[in-house]
Amino acid sequence: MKYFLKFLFVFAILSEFSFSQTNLFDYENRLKFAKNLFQEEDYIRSFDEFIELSKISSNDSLKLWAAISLRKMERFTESEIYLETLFGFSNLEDEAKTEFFQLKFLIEKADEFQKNYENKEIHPEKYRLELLRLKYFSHLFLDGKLPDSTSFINSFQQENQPEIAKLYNERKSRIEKNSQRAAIYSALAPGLGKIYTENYSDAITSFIFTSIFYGLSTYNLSNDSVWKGIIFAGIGAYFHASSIYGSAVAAQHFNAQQKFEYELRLKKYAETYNSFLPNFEPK
Amino acid sequence: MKNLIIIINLVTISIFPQVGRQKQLADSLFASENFYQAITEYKRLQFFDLQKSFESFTNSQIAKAYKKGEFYQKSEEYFRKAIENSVSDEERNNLKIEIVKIFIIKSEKEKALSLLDSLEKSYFEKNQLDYWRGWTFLFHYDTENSLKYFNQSEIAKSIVDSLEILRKKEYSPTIAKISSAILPGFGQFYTGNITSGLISLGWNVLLGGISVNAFFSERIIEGILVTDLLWLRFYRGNIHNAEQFALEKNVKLADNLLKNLQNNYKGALP
Repeated sequence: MKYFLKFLFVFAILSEFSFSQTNLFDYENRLKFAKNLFQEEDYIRSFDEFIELSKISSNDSLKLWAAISLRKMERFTESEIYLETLFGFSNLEDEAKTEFFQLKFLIEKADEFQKNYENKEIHPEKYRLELLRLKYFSHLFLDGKLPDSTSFINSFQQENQPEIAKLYNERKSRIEKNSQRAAIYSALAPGLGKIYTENYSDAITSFIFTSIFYGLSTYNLSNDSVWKGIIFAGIGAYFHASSIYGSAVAAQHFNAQQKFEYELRLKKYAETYNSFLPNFEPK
Repeated sequence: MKNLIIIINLVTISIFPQVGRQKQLADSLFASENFYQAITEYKRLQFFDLQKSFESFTNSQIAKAYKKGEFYQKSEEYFRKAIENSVSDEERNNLKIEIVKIFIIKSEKEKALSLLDSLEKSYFEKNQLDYWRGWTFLFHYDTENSLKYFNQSEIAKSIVDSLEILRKKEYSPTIAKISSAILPGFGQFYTGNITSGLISLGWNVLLGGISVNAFFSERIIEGILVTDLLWLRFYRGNIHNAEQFALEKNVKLADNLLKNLQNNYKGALP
């Protein structure tokens, strides 16, 4: 016990000496803590800490990191506001502009990204090539015509080219179902539109139900049961109309599903390569 | 062991005054129910507590603060971290009970029951385990099992009384189903859904009439098709519907009891 107390005394003196200068809220410690929060993916708190630190120091990295924290929380509009404060006056202008384009890309509005890309004034000089890659990649999300395959694929790094070529070809050869055509097919023969949209079991059900009720209607009308004939004709017409409408919807659903699955793969691929842009996250 | 931890904490606080002050700050924020800031300050304490003396405590406090903010996933994650750093069986078991409570709130019955079962060997207060089993079933609106476990626990007499009253008020899904099977719409009447019962009765009388008429007039194919495609669909739907009404009513009754207990019960709550 005596030795333990002696040890405690010496340790306390040494600790007091080494920790007397330690303030958990000074700039350096707070920055370390903020970065740690970011690494732990507690972005809401890392954002708070970066903002508090930016009140102490005019270091532009803090604003950039605050914007990245907001982007990670998908608070894109606020992130954009922080990035814009770095345009024109900061040594991190190019980084902020690159982040800005990444935001536009991530908001899932490829067309908005391309519109912004047209404004050459906000192009980051240092990261021109990386941005061009992202511009090409954004074409894959849009419905319009794709740029020429050679320049498209060659703009990417060699390691990415095979997968990019695959995605490019898949997008180019994508066949969409026409909802009007599906509706017309089902109007001509119940269920035919569903075969066109590849919903085979629905097609059989539609055909059977509509045929049965039309058949019952014909049978009753030919046997002088007029009111029953009309009721069954009504039910048959209801199934027929459902088949027409259902086919049109199924065509839209087919296209949406196909696009959704393709875009999911695109996003996953873009995430793997950080949208082909450099990473400015705090380390 | 517990005393040793207290000594280590006191020593840490005395030789690292910053850490001690930080703990006080975090504790005061927690006590004043400023849970968001409390989490930040506990995390700061954790980050600068190089000796890791408060690791289990801070993780547990962060978990409690997240729970107060209804971030249950995060809360569970930090309770698990607290378990990793806990030093006694008692502390570990109590933290596991905290995780059980989160499972109960999230209505994750299987996970709650399995964790409670795993505590059977080490938890010293067996009746506590039944008490939390009772809550698990109650949050799942299974009043029968809930009553069974609260009864076994012998520590929640007022809950047992309330559950017994509730059980008398509950509708039987079997009676609802059988009533509607014998006479369409009667299961709905039994559960107090008069309009729905009348609609069910109307459809079944109409379609049943058409079917029977078709058979009596020897239009067999028409009779089979109307019976199979229309009448039986309404008849089966009517039975299912009556059962659903009974179940929904029971859920409503159990939900009211649950809300009442959460506001007024004095004992431990999930």
